[in-house]
Amino acid sequence: MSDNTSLVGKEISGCVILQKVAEGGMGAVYKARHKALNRIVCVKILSPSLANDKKAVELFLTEARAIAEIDHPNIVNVYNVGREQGYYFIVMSFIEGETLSQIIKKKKVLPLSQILELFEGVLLGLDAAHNKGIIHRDIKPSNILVTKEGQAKIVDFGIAKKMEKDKTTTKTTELAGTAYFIAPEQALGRDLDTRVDLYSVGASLYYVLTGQFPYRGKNTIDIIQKHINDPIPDPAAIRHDLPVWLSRAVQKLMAKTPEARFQTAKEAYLFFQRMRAEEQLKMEESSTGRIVNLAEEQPLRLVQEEKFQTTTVLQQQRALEKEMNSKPAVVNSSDLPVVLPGAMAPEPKKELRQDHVEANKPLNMQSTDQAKKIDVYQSRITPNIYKAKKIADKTIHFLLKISLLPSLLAVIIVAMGYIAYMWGKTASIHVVPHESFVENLVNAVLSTPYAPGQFTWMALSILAVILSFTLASAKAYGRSTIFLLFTIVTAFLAGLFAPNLPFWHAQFLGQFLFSPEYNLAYLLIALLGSLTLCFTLKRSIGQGILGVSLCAAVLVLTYLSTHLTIAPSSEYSFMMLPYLAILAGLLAAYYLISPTQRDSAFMPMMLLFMGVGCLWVYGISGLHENTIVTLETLTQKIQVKNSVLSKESKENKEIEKTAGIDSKREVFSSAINQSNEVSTMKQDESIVYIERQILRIAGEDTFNEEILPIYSRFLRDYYKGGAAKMNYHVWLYALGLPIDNFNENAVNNDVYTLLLVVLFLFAVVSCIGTIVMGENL
Amino acid sequence: MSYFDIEFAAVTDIGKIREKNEDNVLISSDLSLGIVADGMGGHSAGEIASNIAVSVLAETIRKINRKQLSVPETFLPRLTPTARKLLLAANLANEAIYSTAQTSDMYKMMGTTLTGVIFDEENATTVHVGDSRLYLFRNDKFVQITTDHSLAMEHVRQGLLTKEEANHSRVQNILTRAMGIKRSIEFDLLKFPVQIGDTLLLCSDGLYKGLSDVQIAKILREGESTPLVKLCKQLVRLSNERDGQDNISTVLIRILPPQKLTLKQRLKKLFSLSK
Repeated sequence: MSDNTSLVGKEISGCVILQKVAEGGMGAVYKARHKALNRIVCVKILSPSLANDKKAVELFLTEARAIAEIDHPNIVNVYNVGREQGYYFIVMSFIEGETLSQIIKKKKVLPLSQILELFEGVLLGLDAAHNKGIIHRDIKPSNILVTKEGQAKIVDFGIAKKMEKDKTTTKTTELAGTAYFIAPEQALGRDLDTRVDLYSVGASLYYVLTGQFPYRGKNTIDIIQKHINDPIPDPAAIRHDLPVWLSRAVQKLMAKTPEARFQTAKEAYLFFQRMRAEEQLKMEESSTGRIVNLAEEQPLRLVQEEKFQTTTVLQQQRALEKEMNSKPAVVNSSDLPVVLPGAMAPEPKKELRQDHVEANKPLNMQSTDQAKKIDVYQSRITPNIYKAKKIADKTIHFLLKISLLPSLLAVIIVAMGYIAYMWGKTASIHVVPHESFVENLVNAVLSTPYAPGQFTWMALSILAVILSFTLASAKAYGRSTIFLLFTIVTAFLAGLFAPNLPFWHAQFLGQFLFSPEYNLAYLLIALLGSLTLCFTLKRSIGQGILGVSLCAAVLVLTYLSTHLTIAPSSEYSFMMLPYLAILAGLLAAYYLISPTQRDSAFMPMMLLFMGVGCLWVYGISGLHENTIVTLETLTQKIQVKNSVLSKESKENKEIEKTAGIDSKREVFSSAINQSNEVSTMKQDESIVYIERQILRIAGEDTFNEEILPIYSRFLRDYYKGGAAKMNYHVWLYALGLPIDNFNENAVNNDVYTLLLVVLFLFAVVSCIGTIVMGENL
Repeated sequence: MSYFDIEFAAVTDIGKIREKNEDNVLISSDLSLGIVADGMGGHSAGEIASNIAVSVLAETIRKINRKQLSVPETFLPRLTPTARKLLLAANLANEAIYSTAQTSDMYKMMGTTLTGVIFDEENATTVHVGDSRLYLFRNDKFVQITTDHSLAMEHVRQGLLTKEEANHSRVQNILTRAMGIKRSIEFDLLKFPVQIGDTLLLCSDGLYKGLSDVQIAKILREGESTPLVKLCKQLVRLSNERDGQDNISTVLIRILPPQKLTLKQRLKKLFSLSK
């Protein structure tokens, strides 16, 4: 832009650039003063971006030189062409005036004689150009300048040629303008001759006569295709004062095929001349009263001509219709070229349209059938059918998934579980009750050679397990595989450590369900099943397992919380149910509305962590309270025993308080540690000693055996460091209570230990894996 | 469930007579994306338009993949996520070209064709405008998937020309649709399932002006085991020998059976969100 504006004031080819007049696709047009001739000229400069394009430059120059050769009053004169200072230029005569399209826009209707005058000029100009072999290709009202004297001058030769050689779009202003005046053969990209300009003259004439474009459409393509297809419009239908010959002439100029038009510009010009002269004559004759029946003679010729014209139009239309009928109007897949490599003939068109092809050349037909199966075409041809089909497909797929997968999974699970259970049961003969869990497990697997009768069973079971697992794993890392693994392990352990309960006995279901060992195992399986389904959607497996593990951990804790050695505080149990209900509700709701994948994975995790925390607090809630209560009970009992001592205490209390003496602790210490033995003892001994003292003071049946050692430990702390130290230790112990409790229980139920270990192992692995390896957490 | 590996190759060549290459190509395994854009010559900066088209499209898709950008929920909600992503990116690219074109006379009326293909687990989704083409070579059959937006093809659609005539028509070069010409344009969006063994060919008009469909198919069939890049170069070379009037760009995409993954890749796959 700056390039162009800076040209003002510069001198190119002896012309001083005065001002920019217009700007087009090819370049800008400037008003300039020719210094030597001292006259105003017009300088057209090729746009700098095009100056690098050899082709464009060549075109620019050759066309300009050709025009320069023609010296005709109806064509803008070219004085000079060349390159200077890096700019390609054409110096032309400057014409004061407007383009025909500007005039029409302003005045709407011009007198007939003026229009004819102008177009005769245009035809003469074109004839001169055509004689030199130059085709304009872009005749339109905006390319016809009208001087102040009323003379038409054609400008912009060769633009259209440029448009065809290079890629451009019809959306550009130039072609959009051209579209209203484009000849059919030009629109179709056929070979052009001088007659193409005649069509455009006809269309322009139509426009100038009527003020309307011959064809209008919703877009450029539509208009262009109407030029090719639609019947020729009659200008007389719009402007009624047109002489018959003129509207016929316009129609003849706009004939679809070049052969039906005037063959040269000269012919058209001469026809115009003659008709006008005859009209003139007729008018003169009629005004002088002489009756010459020219009017009769003339139309006769016209009719003849018209006949010729209409028949050709008809023929042409018929031909078009024929062509249209022979061809499907919509491009469908069979029209797309399907080509076999090796098939040499690049003319598959006709073969494709045949319905049957001999067996010895089935190549193309086969391929079209196949090609149709590609969705692309289906969706293009019949989107609705395709959509419906797609929905149906989806539904079937979904139903299949729903009905098949879970049942299949269930069958596999039951089968695998049974095999594992049998395996475990078989292996259970090696379980030694007082050995550790790990030793038992190892024994069960390794002891096969020592139990010959069991060997086949064992081998078969192992084989089956491995086989099934491999099969399941084929669906690489499927969530179901992990679920299956869980089931097998659980079933195996169940068989191993509880051999007395047969697997298939339905009547023992209640026993299974309500015995702690199975309760948990089956709950876990159910939970895993549901969760694996839940987590299938758009979650990483790592996250899935993490979620499942956390859910399981919650369950374990729930179970443990109902089997606490130390009863939990009663207040909490009321809180638990609503809390869990809310938790479950939130979870469910969240799954439904979760906006993004990340949120939907994150939120349940948070809720689960909260659940775990809640259960933990619930589990340990009893401990602290009970310890305090125990202490109170003990102190009371001591005080009752030492009632003599306590009698004077009422007065002492005030003193104790001000002196900061903990009388309760004093009382407690005096009762337990009369001879100050505890401070010299080792920790274990002191606990046992305190335990004995407590039993002595409180009586044998006050505390149950299991809790007493725990309390005595706390009481020792109380004795040594006072209430603060005791509380600290109570809470420290409480943090590990569920685990300790669990371990207590797990002495008899190794299943729990293993399950918990496996669960947390999975959780840790999936956590770390997701954080370290996950790409899109 | 059908997973596959995708191999990409691209070659772009200035041709024999042009002074600049206005084509732009992009291939990205990360994005599973291949694009060919053919900038429009004539009076403006075609190579700039095609450059903007390619880079904005790829960048938008990358951002959407990284969740730095999300497709508005109201944006054609009935399409597949991949299609929405691609279409949004194409629309943004068009707007970028259009607004750049308004900034300077140098860029005025620049435009570009665009043919891009993106893959998800099962499908190839194509966005298309202009006269670049996407071909599918499957089971020895060679099919043009896209329809050219040229005046010649419009005529074919209306039955005014045969396909054969259109190939030699002068109006083949006149585009009826292109990016950067209007603020909002219509894209062709096509989705089709890919199969292992498919070869997809994206090319600018330079290629098919020099080589007929039959010839391209022949080269593809004979080159089924040659490396893709070599095949690309061969196509461009042959087209150049025969015509060479225009810039030639070729993107070849081959759908391969899934490769064996390394342990690290497997772990990554295991712990990453399934798409």
